[in-house]
Amino acid sequence: MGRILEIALIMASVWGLLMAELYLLFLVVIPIPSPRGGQIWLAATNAAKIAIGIASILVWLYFWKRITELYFWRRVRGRGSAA
Amino acid sequence: MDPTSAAIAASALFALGFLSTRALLPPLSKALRKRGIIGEDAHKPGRPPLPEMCGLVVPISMAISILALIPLSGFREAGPALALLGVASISALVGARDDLRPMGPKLKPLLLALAGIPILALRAYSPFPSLPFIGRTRLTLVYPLAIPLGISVTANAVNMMDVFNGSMTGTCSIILAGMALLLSLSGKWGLVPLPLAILGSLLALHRLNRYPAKVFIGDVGDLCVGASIGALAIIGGIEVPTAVAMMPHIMNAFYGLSSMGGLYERRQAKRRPVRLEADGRLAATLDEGAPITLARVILAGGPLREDEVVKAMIALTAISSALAILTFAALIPG
Repeated sequence: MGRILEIALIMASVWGLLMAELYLLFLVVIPIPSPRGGQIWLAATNAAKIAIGIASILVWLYFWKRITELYFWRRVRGRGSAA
Repeated sequence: MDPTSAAIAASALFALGFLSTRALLPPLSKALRKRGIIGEDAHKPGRPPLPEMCGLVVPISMAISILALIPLSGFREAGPALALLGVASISALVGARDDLRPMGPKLKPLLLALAGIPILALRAYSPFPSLPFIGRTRLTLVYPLAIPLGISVTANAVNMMDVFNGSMTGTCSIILAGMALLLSLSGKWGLVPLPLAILGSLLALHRLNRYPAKVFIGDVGDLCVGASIGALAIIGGIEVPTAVAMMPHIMNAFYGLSSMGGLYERRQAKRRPVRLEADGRLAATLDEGAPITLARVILAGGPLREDEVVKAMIALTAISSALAILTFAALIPG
């Protein structure tokens, strides 16, 4: 069925974005060293890493919600007779 | 446990789960009907009454299978097996309470979190979970705190998927088969019989719960199966791939939560996401205030019969389980 493929594509996109974000977080963001020595710089760098992590999760959830809503309403309104 | 012994134990437990459920289900459904524990099949014309809470057979069958596994494995898998049985029993009790006297949308997840206690008490977990691209990580402080949350999330996600005949049993059977494969791939042979014991029971239950259903599972079965999947993921150290395999369930719960703006109970949702057409098919409603559930997303393409919606859900779970295997490959750092 075409609709299964469409929803599977949404699922694969959500999974792909998650994997890409995890790749960037674990292999790019987390290994970034503190630009200077000292506890304050270290704490600031770690706080920035946590903020980037939280922001990326929120972006992922927003992407998931938006792509589903867009698909749903476009499909329903496209048919025009669901109600 | 070596692969050959695991294969023998897995086959024996699968058969035991299937046969015990098949033997217990008819007298149980008769007894429940006699006691008036029945629910209406809302998606059928005439709303036929069916015995509720037949999922009670799952924790009973799990107890029979798991207690048989312990001596079969030479008592080596006693800790993880008893932890799984403890999680299944507590979550089934919460489900039974919810079936008999419905709970609020906040109390149920809170009580379900308590089902994680046997895993913590028996230390049937490793605080070094594998994450994609980096492999094993050290989360000794955070991990134990996340266990009750994980159990509650998986139990509720499975519960929210039990909306049509055979939707829970069909999709969770695919997930459990995938989990058995993932445990084999990670070399945890001693744990492979555990998902197969539940799979045997679920397949026997599916025969009577699939379209047109003759029995309802109830929260007692839904929460028990969902919590057991969460427990198996933790015990087997396959948390991330299991979460990916459960994507249709998580999507369904997430869509509902995000469109309703927080925790809610199906019975509290005044606006229905799906309605029954005169010809017996299901259609998505156009109500902007109704939750956008997975069923509603599937029905966005046009009305379908109930069994066709369930087949779509099962197909999506098969695809997510394939993605879970790919995720498992990403757990091995390159």
